[in-house]
Amino acid sequence: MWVAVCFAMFGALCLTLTPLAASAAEPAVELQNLKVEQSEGAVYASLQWNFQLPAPLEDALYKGVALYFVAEVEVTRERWYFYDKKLLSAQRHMRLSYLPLTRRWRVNVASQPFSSAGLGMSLGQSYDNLEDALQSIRRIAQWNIGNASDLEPETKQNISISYKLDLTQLPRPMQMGAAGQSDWNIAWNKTQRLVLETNK
Amino acid sequence: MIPEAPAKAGVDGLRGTVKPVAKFHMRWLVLVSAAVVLALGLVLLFLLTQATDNRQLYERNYQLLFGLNMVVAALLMGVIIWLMLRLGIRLKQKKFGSRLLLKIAATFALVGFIPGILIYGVSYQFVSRSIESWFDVKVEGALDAGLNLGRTTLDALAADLGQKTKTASAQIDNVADASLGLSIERLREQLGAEEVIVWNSAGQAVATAGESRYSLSPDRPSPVLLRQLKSQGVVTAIEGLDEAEAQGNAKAKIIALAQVSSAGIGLRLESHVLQVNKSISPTLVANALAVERAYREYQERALGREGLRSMYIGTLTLSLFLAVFGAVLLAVLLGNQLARPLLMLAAGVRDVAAGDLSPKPALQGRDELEGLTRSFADMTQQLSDTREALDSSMMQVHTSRANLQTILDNLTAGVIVMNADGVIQSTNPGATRILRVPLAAWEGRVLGDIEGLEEFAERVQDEFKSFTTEQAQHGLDHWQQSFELHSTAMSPAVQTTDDTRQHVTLLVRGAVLPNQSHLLVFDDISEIVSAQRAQAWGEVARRLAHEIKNPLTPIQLSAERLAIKLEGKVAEPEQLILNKSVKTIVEQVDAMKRLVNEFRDYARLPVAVLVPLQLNTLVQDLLQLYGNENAAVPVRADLDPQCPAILGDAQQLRQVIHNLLQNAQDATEGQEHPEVRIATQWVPATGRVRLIVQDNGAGFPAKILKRAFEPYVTTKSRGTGLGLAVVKKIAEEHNARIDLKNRETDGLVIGAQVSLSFQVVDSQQTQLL
Repeated sequence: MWVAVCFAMFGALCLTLTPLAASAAEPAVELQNLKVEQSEGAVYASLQWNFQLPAPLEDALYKGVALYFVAEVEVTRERWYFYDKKLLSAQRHMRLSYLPLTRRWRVNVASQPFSSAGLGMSLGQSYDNLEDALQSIRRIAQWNIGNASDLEPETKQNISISYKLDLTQLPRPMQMGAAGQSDWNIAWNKTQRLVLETNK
Repeated sequence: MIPEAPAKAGVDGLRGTVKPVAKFHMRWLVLVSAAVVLALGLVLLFLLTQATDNRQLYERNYQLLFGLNMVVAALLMGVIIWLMLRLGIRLKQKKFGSRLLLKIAATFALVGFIPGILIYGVSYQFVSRSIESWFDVKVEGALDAGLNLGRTTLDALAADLGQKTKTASAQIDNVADASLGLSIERLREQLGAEEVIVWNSAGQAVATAGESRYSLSPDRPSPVLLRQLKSQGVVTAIEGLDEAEAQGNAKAKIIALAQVSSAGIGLRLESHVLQVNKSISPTLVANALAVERAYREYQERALGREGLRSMYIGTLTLSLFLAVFGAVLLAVLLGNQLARPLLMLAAGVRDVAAGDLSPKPALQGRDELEGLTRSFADMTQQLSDTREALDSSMMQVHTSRANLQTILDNLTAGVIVMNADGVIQSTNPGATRILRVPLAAWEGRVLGDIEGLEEFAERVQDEFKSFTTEQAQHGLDHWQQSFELHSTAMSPAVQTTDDTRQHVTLLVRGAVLPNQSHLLVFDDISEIVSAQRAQAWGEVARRLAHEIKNPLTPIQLSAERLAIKLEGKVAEPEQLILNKSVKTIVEQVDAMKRLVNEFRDYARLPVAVLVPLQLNTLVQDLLQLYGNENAAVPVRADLDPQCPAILGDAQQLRQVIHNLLQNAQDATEGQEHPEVRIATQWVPATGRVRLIVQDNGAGFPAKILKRAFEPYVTTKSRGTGLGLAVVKKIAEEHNARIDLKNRETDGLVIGAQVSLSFQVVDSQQTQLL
C-alpha cells in the first residue's frame, strides 16, 4: 500500500515537471557558409547561418522580449597526449529586440554577454522590419577572431563553431518556461578541420 | 531495523542474536539516513536563502538545485521503498516485531504525511491563484493603451513636423543656394526646430541652421529614408529613442525630410532635400519609455507565466516530497527507536515464557521504556537466580535421597513402609533378602497376602494397633518385638519335620512416619541367637560336665567294687545279673565320661598358638590313620603343592580335620560307593589356602544347614552335635573362614562340602607390615 502511494506521489511530481521534458521538432539551424582567412596578421571568419525563427519566438519578440544569440568560434590544436590546446577563441553576442514605441527592430552586437556589460558597450543598429534584423544576425562577415601568430599551421588544428539562442540571458521566469521547449532550443555546433585561406 | 534488528528488528536486527551483523547494518542505515536528511536540509536551506536573497545566483543554479533535489528525492524514495520491501518481507516471514514496527511507522508517517499534504494543497492553490491574479486583462489593456498613447503621440508629433516641413519646403523652392542659409534660419525659428539642413542630391549639406551649423559634416539621412522620401515626398523618423532607452540620457528627436521641388528650371539643376530635426520633450520620452518598459516586463512575465508557475509548483512539490519522504524515513527510523525496547521486551517475555531465563539485554537510556527493559532484565535475573537456587536445593534433596536410598539398599536390616491398611509402599533389598520374598514386586499390595507372611503381617498389624493406642498414653515413638518366622517353637536339637521351611528370627521395630505410614524395620538375628545359644550351651556343658564328672568315678568304682566283693558270694543266677548290671553301669559311666569330656573339650578349648606350618604335611600325616586298612571309607586326597605355609595350631587343626573326616565318613554310611575327598587349594586371588572336605552323602537338610555350627545340632542318630561346633570355634581362633554347603548337580543334592580358608604366613606379614 505504501509503495503504491509513493509511486503515485512520484508520478505526480513527474507530471508537474513534464513541460521541462517535452520533445518536439527542433528548429533547424544550418551553417551555409564558412570562410576563415588570414589577412594582415589577423584571422577573420565569415559565417552565414540559415534558420527560421519559430512563431513563439517571433511572438515573444513582438511583445518586447529581447532574444540573445551567441556565436562562438574556437580554434584548437589537437594533442593526443593531453587535452587540446586552445589557440584562438572568440565570442559574439547578439541581441535582437523590437521597440513597440517606434515599431522598429534593433540589433546589438558585443563580444561579451550583455548581462555583465549592459548595452553600453555594444554596437547598435535599427531595422524597419524583422527580416532585415534577422539577416544581420544570421550573417557574420569579416569577424576578427584573433591573431594569426597564435595559430600553429604545421599542426593539426580544429575549428569549433557554435551558434545558439542564449537562454541564460532571458528573464528568469522565461527561462523556466523555455527550458525544455524545443521552439526555444535553437542551437548548432560543429567541429571540423581548420581550412585557412590566405588573403594577403 | 529490527535488531535484527533488532529485535531480531530489534529487529532485524533487532534480534540479539540481535546479531552483530544486523546491528552493524542497522547503524549503517541510520547513519546514511541521517546524512541524507542533513544534506536535504542544507540543500533546502540553501535554496530558500538563495531564492530570497541572491536572485542572479539562484537563477543560474536553479536547474542544478532542482536536479540535486530530484536526485535526493529519488534517493529518499529508494531508501523508503527498500525499507518497505524489507518490512514487507519481514511481515511475510512473520518475523517477530515487524507488525509493531509497521504500525508505529505507519502512524508516524501518517502524522507527517497529512499535514504535509494539507499545506501543499493550500500552497498550491495559493501559488496558482496569485500568479494568475498578477495577469489581469485590465492591466494588460492599460499597458497597451499607454503604449499606444505614446506611440500615437510620437506619431502625431512626427506627422505634424512632416507636414510643417513639407510646407516649409515649398517656401524655399526657388531660393538660390546662396540665400538658403537665411531662409532656413527663418524656417528653424518658425518651426521651433533644433536643426534645419538642406541636402543636395549628392548628399552634401547645402545649408544648415541650428546646432549642426558648427559641425563640418552633420549626420546624413539614411539611404532608406531617402528612398522612402523619393516615393512619398515627405518622411519622418524618430531617432535616439533606443539610445535613450539604453543610456537614459540621450536625447530623442524627430527627423522630417521633405523634397524641395525644383520649380525654377535653370536656376537649380538638382533637387534638394530639406531636413528638419526637432527634439522631443524629455518628459514625454521618459514617460513613453517607462510605459514601454513596463509593457515589456509585463509581457515577459506573461510569457514566463507557465514557467513561473511550474517553477513555484515544482519547488513546492519537491519540498513536499522531501518533507514527506524525510518524515516517512524519520518515522521508520524513530519507530524503530521506539519499537526497539518494546520488541526487546516482547522477545524477552516470549523467551521467559518458553522457559529461557538467560540474561536479557537492557537499554541504557533514561526514559521509562528503556527503564522497563532494565527492570525486566533484573526481574528475569531474579527469576533465574530463584530457579537456580531451587534447582540446587532440589539437587541436594535428590542427592540426599539417593544417599538415603543407597544406605537403605545396603542396610542389612530390612525396611518396609506400609500404609495403615498394611499395603506395602516401599521396601529395601534387605527386606527381600531377610524375608526371602521379592517384596519389590509386591509394592502396592497388602503384606498379609504374601504366602507365608500372613501370620507375620497379622502380628505386625496387631502391634501397630496396640502401639497407636498406647502411644497416646505413654508417648512411645516405636515398638520393638522379635518374631519367629515359619516356626512356633525352637529347641536346641530340633528335628525338622519340614525341610523346606526355614526358621528365621526377626527383631522387628515399628514406628509411625509423619505421613501416618507404618515403618517396619527388622533384622535377621538368627545368627546372633545362634551364637548366644552356642555360648549358653557351652556354659551349660562346662557346668554339667563338672557336676556330672565328679560322681561318675565313685559310681564306677562302687559298681566295680560291688562286683569284686560279691564275686562268688551270690547264687549263679544273681551272679549273672550282677555281672551284667555292673558291666552296664561301667559301660554307661564310660560313655557318660566320654560325653562329659567332649562337653568339656568344647567348653574349654585351649587358646590356639599360631605358628607357620604346612597344611599339606599335616593332612598327609593324618591320612595314614585313614588308610584302607584302618578306615571303613577310603579318603582321597588332592593336595595342591603350591600351598604356602599357613598360620595354625597343629594340634587343633588335626582335631578339625579328624572331625570333618569323621563327619564325612558318617555321612556316607549306607551309600553304595562311599567317597570322601580332602583337598587343599592355593587361591592367589584371596591370598588364602583352602581346605576342602567333600562327601557324597545325603547332604545337609535346609534347616540344619543354617544352624549346623551350633552345638547339639546333628543329623546323626548318635553324636553329641559338638563336632562342627568345635570346628567352627577353632576356625574362628585361626581367623579362617568356614563355609558349609550342599553339593548340587541339576538341583539334586549329591553330597556335602565344608571348606576352610586359612591365612598364609606372607599375607599376615604383609598385613602386619
